[in-house]
Order: sequence, then C-alpha cells, then structure tokens
Amino acid sequence: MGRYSGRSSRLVLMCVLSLAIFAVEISVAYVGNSLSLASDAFAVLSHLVSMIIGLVGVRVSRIRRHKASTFGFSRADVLGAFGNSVFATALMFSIFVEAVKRFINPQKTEKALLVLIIGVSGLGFNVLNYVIFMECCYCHAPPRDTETGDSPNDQKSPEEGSEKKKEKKSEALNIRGVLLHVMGDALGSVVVVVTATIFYVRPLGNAPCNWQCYIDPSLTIVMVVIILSSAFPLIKETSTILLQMVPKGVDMQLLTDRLARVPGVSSLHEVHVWELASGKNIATLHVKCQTPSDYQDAAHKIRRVFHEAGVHSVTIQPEYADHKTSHLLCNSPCISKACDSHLCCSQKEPPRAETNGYMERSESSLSAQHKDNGSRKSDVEIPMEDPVAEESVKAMKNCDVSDDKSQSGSTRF
Amino acid sequence: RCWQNRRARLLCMLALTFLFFVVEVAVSRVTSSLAMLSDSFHMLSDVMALVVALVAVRFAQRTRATKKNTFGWVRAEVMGALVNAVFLTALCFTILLEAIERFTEPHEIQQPLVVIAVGVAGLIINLLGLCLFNHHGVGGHGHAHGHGHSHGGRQQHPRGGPKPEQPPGDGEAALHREETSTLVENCSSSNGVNQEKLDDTKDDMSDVQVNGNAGHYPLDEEEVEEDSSAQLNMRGVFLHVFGDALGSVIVVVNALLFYGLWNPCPEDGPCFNPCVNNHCMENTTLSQALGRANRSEQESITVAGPCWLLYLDPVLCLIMVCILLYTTYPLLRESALILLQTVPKQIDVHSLNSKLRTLEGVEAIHELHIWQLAGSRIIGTAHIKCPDPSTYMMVAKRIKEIFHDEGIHATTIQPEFASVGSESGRGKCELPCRTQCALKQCCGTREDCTAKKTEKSSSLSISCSEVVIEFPKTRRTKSESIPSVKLEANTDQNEQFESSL
Repeated sequence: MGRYSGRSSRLVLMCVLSLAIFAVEISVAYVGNSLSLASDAFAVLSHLVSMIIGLVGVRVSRIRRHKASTFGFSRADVLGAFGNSVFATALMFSIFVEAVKRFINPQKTEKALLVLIIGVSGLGFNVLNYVIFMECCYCHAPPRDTETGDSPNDQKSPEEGSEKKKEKKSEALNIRGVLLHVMGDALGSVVVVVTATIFYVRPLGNAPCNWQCYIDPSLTIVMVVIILSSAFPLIKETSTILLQMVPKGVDMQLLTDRLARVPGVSSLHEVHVWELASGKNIATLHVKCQTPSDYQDAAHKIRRVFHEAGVHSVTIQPEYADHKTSHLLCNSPCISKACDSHLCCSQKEPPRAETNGYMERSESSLSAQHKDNGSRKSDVEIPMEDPVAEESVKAMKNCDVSDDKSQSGSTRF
Repeated sequence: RCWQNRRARLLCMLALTFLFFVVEVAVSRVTSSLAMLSDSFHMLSDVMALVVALVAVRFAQRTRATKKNTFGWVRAEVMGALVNAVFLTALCFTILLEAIERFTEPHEIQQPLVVIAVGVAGLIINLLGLCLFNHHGVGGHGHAHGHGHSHGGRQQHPRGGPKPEQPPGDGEAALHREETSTLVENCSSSNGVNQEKLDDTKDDMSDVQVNGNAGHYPLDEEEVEEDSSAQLNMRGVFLHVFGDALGSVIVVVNALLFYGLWNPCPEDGPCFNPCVNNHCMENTTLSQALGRANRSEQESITVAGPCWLLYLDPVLCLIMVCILLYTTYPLLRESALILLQTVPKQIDVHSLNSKLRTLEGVEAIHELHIWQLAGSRIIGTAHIKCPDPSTYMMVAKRIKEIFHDEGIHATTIQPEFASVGSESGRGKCELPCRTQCALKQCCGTREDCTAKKTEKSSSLSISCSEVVIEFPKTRRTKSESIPSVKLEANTDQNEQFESSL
C-alpha cells in the first residue's frame, strides 16, 4: 500500500472508535444537559469527518495520472486539509453560538456523575489519539530518503536538506489537519471533566442557576478560541497553494533578476511560478532571444537558475525578437487579441516583464508606444520572426489560410 | 457595470441581513423566546457567507500579476465558492443534529404568533435576496459586443469555415488588419457568438478589435469578468440565502399549523400531555391516567393537542437538509475540481494530444498540461519535439491555433530539438533535472523522462547531484572505463554508457 500503510490502518481504527465515542457522548449529553459534553461529542464527530477526508485525500493524491487531470490528484491532500479546516471553523462557530445562548439562558448540568465518567473516558481516548498520531508523523521520515537521494556528496545539500524538510512538512499537511482536531478534542474533554466535577461536588438540585452554570459556556468559548487560532495558520498555508501563489521559498524579484541576466536573453515575460503540492514547484515563462542558438544556450542556464531556486518543472517558450515588437510584450499571447480576457494575464495592462539590460536594445522608441498601437499590432504575432529562417517561413503554407497571403512575405498574422 | 452590480448587491444584502439579525435578537430578548434566538443566529451565518463572498469578489478584481501571486488573484472567487459550500455543509450538519435532538425531545412552540411574525419577515428578506442573486447579469451586455460567455471549447464551431480570402497585400499593415479580423472572427466564433458584426470592420484598425472600439475596453473587461468563476461565487451565496429561506418557510409553516391545530395545556387545571416524555415518569398512557383520576374529573382533563405536530418540525428540517445538500454538492464538486487543477470538462486531453501529434513537423508531445485558472482562463503547457528550429517555426502557429480552438488561450509551448540520427526515442523529455528532482517535478517519475541519450551539446543536464552526463562528448575514457556498458540507459543515473558499442 505504499508508505502510508501504517498510517491508514491506524486512521481506520481511529475512525471506528471515534464513531462509537461520538454516539455515547451525544446521548449522555442530552440526558445530562451538559453543553460541554455535547460540544465535545461534536468535536469528536468533526474529528471523525476530518479523518475520513484525510484517508480519502491521501489515497487519492497518490493517483499520478488520470484522464481528468493532467497533474494527477496530488493536490487532494491540500484541498482536504483546507476543507477540514473550514469545516472545523464552521462547527466551532456553531458551538460558539450555543455557548452564547447558554450565557443568555443558563442551564445546569444534571446527572453529573455520568457526565464525568464519559468525560474522563473521552479524554483518555483523545490522549490515545494524540499519542498515536504524534508518533506516526515522525516515523515516516527515514524511508523517504532512499527514494530521493542518489549521491551522498551533494554540494547542494543544504538546499536539498531544506527542500526535503519542506516536503516532509507539507506532505503532512493533511495529517496536521487531523492533529488539529485531536488537540481540540483533548481540550474539550478537559472542559467537560472540570464542569462535571464542579457539578458533582456541589450539586445544585432544584435551585436556580448560580455561578456554576456559567462555567460551562465560558470554558467552551475558551476552547473555541484556542482551536480557531490553530486552524487559521493551516488555512493560510493551504490557501497559499490553492490560490496559485508563489511558493514560500521563492523570491520572485531575485529570480527574475537572475533570469534576466542570463546571456542570450533579451527579455522575459509571463513568468509564472506556483506550487502544485508538497514542494512541487512549477514555472512557465516566455523568453525573447535574438536567435535560436541564443535560445538553446540560454535555456539550460535558465533551468539552472530555476533549479537553484527550487523549481524543477519549467516550461520555456522562446520568442524571437524583431524590430517591430516591443521587448516587453508577448509575441504570441494567443492567435488573436480578442482572446485577451481568457488569458491568465491580460495583455492590455502594462506587462510585468524584465529585460536584460546588458543586451542592446534599439527599440526604445517602440517601448514608448507599446501601450497603444504597439499592443495592437504585435499581439497577434506568433514566434516565427526569426530573421534567419524568414525565407523558409515565407514559403510556408499555413494549413487553412489561402495562398496569396503567404507569398506577400509577411510572416505575421 | 456588472461587477459593480455584484458588489452592490452583496453589500445591500449584507446590510439587510445584519439589520434583521439585530432586530431578531432584540425581539427574542423581549419575548424571551429561545427559538427566535437560534433562528437569528442562522441569519448570522448568512452574514458570514456574504462577507466571504464579498472578500472573494474584492480579491478577484485584481487580475494583475503581483509579487506574491504571478497569476493575480483571479482564483479567489473559486475559493470563496468552496468556503461557502463547506460552510453550508457544516450548517446542514448542525441542523441535522438539532432535528435529531428534537425527535427525541419534542417541545412545543411558545408564542406561535410572534414566531410567525418574525418568520414571515425573515422570509421576505430571504426572498429579496434570492431575487437579487438569482440571475445576475448573465451577459446581456456581453453578447452585444460579440464576446459571449467563455466556455470556449464547448461550442466547437468549425473554425469559421475556411478563412475568407485576403486581398493581395498592399503592405503589411493592411495585411495585418485582414488577418486580425479573420482571427478575431475565429476567436469569437469559438465562443459561439455571431460574426456578422465583424465583416464590416475591416477598414479601420481601431474597429478590428472584437470588442468594438479601444475605448470600450474597460467596459468589456468588466462585463467579461462576469464569467463562470464569478457565477460560482454567487451560487454559493445564493445557496446560503436559499437555505435560509427554506428555514424561514419551515418556521412559518410550523408555527401556523401549531397555532391552528395545537391544543395547548391551559395554565390551570389538570392536563395530560402524552407527547412529552418525562424521563422521570414511567410511560403512562392516557387510559391509565384517566383510570387513576376520578370519574367526575374525566371530562375536565384536557389532553394536549395532536402529537404529530410536535414532530413536524424535525421532519421538515430533515427534508430541508436533504434539499440543501443536494443543491450544494454540485457547487462543492465544481469548485473542488478547479482547485485540484483538473482538466476542464469540455476539453478532451486525448484528442488534443492526438491532434497535436498528427501535425507534420511534430515528433512528440510530452508534459501536456491543461488546467483552469478560474472561469474562462484555461492555461496549457506542452513540450513539443521537433527535428529542428525551422520546422518548429512552421508549426508553431498551427499549434497555437489548435489550442485556441479548444478554448485554451494562454499557452506556453517549449520546443525541443532532437539531434539528427538520435535514437533517443520520441517520448524522451529533455529534462535536465535528474531523478532526485523527479519527485519534485509535477509529474513524478516517468521512465521516459529520466535518462537521455544522444543529444547534442545542447542537452547538458543539470543533475541534482552534480553528476553530469554528456553525449557524445565524453566517450569512454581510459581512466573511467566501466566494463558494463548499456545500450539503453533508461533508468540508471550514474553509469556511463555509450550510444553504440
């Protein structure tokens, strides 16, 4: 089953146990009219749901290739953790609402002994949970190394080390989501025990509610705050990935500076760097060069720059500069300008592009006008303006275009 | 403007809902009705959903690339939709628990009249919200400008037939215009919008743009923004309001029936309530209770009204939960699929792959990735293997056209050139990162992407462990002659091998 085998069987066991605990706790909570026990049962159930999501997410993210997704489903992990956390937030919100209602309308806990017993057993279960997951999260580290490492003498080892650490950390994102719930449950059980003890030691009988009735909701609110404060960082992390943001270890300014300094590169634009999941960074960019051989030399250096930045999947689109296009604009956003709104980055806005200051540029005049008509004329070009190959291109036949045009010598469409 | 409309609607609904929430809390304090208090908190969850949607809309307007996000924040709306869908699921779950609780312990509604009044008020507000978010700006403006809804590939019009013939070029500029108009035609036709508008716009450069004049650009951008990602977001809000409306309907119906049919226990006099189970008492039946009473008092014992009324509330709640879950699931699925980087469902990757491969001049395609950023922005990348650069020039445009036809307009095509006479196989990728990096690449370990063979010097590889294998520069040197020579090096990283023995 792969390296998660130990973990998933543990997860299944925990799921079954959680379901049983939830059923017991919720019924006792209704009988004993204890909000904290009800919310603890609630938390156990949400924990259960998150474990199920974790199980499914881990399995699904192992699918590498699927016809519905060219990337496989490696993001399922991240999405599962995000869904987890949002679900937990929503449930905490409803618990908060219940606590507020109890403040307005205090009620006392009955059958304190029963509640106390169940609370203690719930606490025991949560501690067990915690122990199991803590232990398993660190035990998967060693086997992974043999899959990645080839040679021990790696002069990039500090970087590799940090990358591996990043991997480990973000691989366990979903398990962290589960851990989050476990900690919340432990806190909830503590609250239950405390409240039940107070009611057991000083039973209220038929007296109206005094200060004792307010302990329950206040402790519940404290618990909610603590859990939310640990859920939010997880939400932040996962949404960084889901929103296609630049991954943490990559500095875009530095990267583009280095790229622009690669010899052979006149300018670059449409640089995109994003993280697929768990340390897999992907980049695409368009590079303007003078000649194809320029491009081929530059391509490897570009890849090296990316490699050093931690990005290992790079797709580079070469474009060949000509005197008609501004250096900053894309030669080929799509085959026509009308598709602009479908592009990931609109060409109408001044582009975020870098030019290589070392290469001589003769288009300072053009760059001035690229905002108006330059953007109209050149956006429909396709990278075929290589002056060397222009002759051959002239004779080219485009598949569905009628012939006259190609002979007129323009390679631009 | 459509997006202004969106924000305005959200803000308006937000204000209304919040106001109503405050009113409901006040009323519930005055009448000390717990049911109203809990209903008011449902309104609060509505408020939260609206806030989430607003934040998403604000973010998603920044489509420009920033330092933190090279794609801009267009995806925020999809995330907003997902968050709302998950919230709704959690809400359904809590309602389910409440319903189960009420099954076991039914209680009557106190002061049904007040409940009815507040319920009706809430229902009105929710219906207003439903109207607001129902059919918002479905591109009434957009069509007129010839730029309809984005699902680009869905209507696969044959690309406008053969391109209209071009008049003999009287200079590049005119040619430009012609070509642009043709392509422009095709772009919009791939969006399924009428083309007649464009035929007469060939003369003036400024009119060739599909969207009309250059001055119309700002208008159009906003109109076109109203695309499927915005719709997702609005759908999330709509479902929340819908759920709330259903809740109000249930409250009103329940209270009405209760008011009409329920026979409450009067304050004074003996009363027997068979519906409420007291945990303390034994299970008694009416006859037993009657039997215990004196005969003279039989007629004066009132029995609390029909018991099934008490169970109406949870049953209706269950029905509502089912309806809500059924309508939320598609939203959840759609936004999750976008966030998982899947291929949009209108695009068939296999057929795209085969179309690209059948182009002449293309030897192989690999690392073909298609994914949806948000709405109509579909992004594709591919590595195309061609024999040499000039061949690539010839097919580049065709490749872009093929992508364009599928609705993929933002593409990055990387040409790779195999050297003449190399048997490196069609599928081999020119990936310089070695196997150590394979796990960090997007597509894991594919055996046709690891080792390479006879490439030119241009195939310098950058290995993660600094072991460089170059071909054919380094033949077997005397110092490092390795007896085991492989003819095919598909998997081994460190071994030296030769292309021919």
